[in-house]
Amino acid sequence: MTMKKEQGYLSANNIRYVDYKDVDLLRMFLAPNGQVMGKKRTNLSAKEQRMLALAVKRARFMGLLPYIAA
Amino acid sequence: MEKELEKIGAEPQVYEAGFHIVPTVAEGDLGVQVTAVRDIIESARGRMIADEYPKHMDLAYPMVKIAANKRVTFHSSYFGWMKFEAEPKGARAIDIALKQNASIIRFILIKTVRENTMVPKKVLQQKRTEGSEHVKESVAEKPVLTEEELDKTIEDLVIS
Repeated sequence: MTMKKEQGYLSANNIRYVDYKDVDLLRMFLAPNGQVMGKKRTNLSAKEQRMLALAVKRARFMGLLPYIAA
Repeated sequence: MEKELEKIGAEPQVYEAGFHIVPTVAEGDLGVQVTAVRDIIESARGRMIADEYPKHMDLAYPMVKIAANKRVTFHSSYFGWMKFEAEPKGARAIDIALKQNASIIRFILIKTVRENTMVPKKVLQQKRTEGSEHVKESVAEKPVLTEEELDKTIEDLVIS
């Protein structure tokens, strides 16, 4: 028996590209300390999770998100 | 690097340059800085697709820039971006030119898509309202009292 996986937020809302400037969207997938949540918690596909991780890293580099939230 | 560029080919691609301008620049002089960035892009045969005028923002962490042998720490900046179409060789030239701009604290040059990639705020708001409804439902489910029981408890309260 295999459990059907819940649909991720990105595919449910037809979001095909995660922009690093979209801080509100990125924060939905971050833990309070600034870490990116795991795939099991975000319910994203592997491709979407990679896209999210890249966008978060770009946002951190540009000072839009913290590396470590106090 | 040249070999990499040869592999990619000369076909134009869509790029985006995001940049932080130093906060010491007066708001009136921001336009001059923006046109300087635009000139860099256009001189590398870049065709503008979209852009956002720099806005003042607080940085998530202090950024350090070394200018004229001095370390300067910035806690805020003017952040703006430009999306454009250029050849890979042009993008390389833009990268080098932006590095030499003293009024830019930090910049990022990425490959992107022509379409608008920002999620409309409506979608994000929907998610929040859905979450709050869920909380309300769980609260409403808790009391399991019939009308008679409710009347009794109210009467008890009134009498006491």
